[in-house]
Amino acid sequence: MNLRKLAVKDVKNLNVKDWGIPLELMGPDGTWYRTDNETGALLQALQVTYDYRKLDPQTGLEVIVNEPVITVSLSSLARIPIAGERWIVRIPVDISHLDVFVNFVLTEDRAPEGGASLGFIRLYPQKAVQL
Amino acid sequence: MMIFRQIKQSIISILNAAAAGRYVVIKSQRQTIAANEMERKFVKVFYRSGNFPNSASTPYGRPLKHEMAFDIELSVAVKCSVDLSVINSELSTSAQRAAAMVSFDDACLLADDALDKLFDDVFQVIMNPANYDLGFTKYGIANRWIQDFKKDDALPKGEYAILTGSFQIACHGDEQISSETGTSALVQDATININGEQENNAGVSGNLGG
Repeated sequence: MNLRKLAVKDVKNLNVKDWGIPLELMGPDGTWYRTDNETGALLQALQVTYDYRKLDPQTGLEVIVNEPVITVSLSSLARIPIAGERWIVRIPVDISHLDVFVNFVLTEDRAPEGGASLGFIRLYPQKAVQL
Repeated sequence: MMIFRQIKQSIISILNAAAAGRYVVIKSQRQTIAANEMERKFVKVFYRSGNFPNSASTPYGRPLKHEMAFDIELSVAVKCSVDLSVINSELSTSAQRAAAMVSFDDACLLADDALDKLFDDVFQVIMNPANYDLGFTKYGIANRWIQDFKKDDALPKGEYAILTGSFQIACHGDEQISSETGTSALVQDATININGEQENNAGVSGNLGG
């Protein structure tokens, strides 16, 4: 196997094994993606991190804000989010209740970042409230 | 107390009295702030700068002219607005869910509107004719004015769209110089004896004429 392909495979397998967090995605066409496109298992993110501090350079104010960063293997996705699309992202935010999912949204506000070299994508969802 | 400190308190009081749940007034520059707190919309008031023009003041005995500026910082944090009842419903069709996705409001768009609305609210309060003297007696301060409104860029800040802006309230006032600090003047306490003074006309009491 090509070394790059092996690395991509390892990144997915090792991270899902050690850091995997359940994930549900809904595309702009209203289709839910709940299973891994490669393995057929429940869809999992490689990593979800939350805590964040942000210094606003314009006001000097330090803002304490959660920034969920969801890293997903590209091979897990039947459809890959691209910049400018709106998606719904469901993740558990309480690590002790992995079965309780919370709605987030991906919007045009912030584009996803692709890690093409290692076959993953980073998503930056925002909180959602009832319209 | 110098008049700029009184004016700052007065601005805070005026904004607080008119808030009616539309915003929360913060009285100082905080070190950190949580994004979820900012959902209540913050109006931060603090004294930014003062100028004492030499040509408009005299150093002895008279008030000093003080051209002062107060910074008012506005902060909002907003979430996306989506029809979650459709998204969460297992009975909804993909077409219904797709329609819900199209119709939702971006957080950045909502934050932009929210900051405009907040500036509108605060501007109306400060520039209301009833607040011409910012709560002081008539002519207690002069040239109350709002200037330099500026909306900052929407920077990516996690799960909220956070937007800040600021403007200045400028005015003039007279600062009274008090003598409450410093060294007390020396007081001469001596008996004055004037030789030859018989009529007690010297205006002093005591043992006159020696």
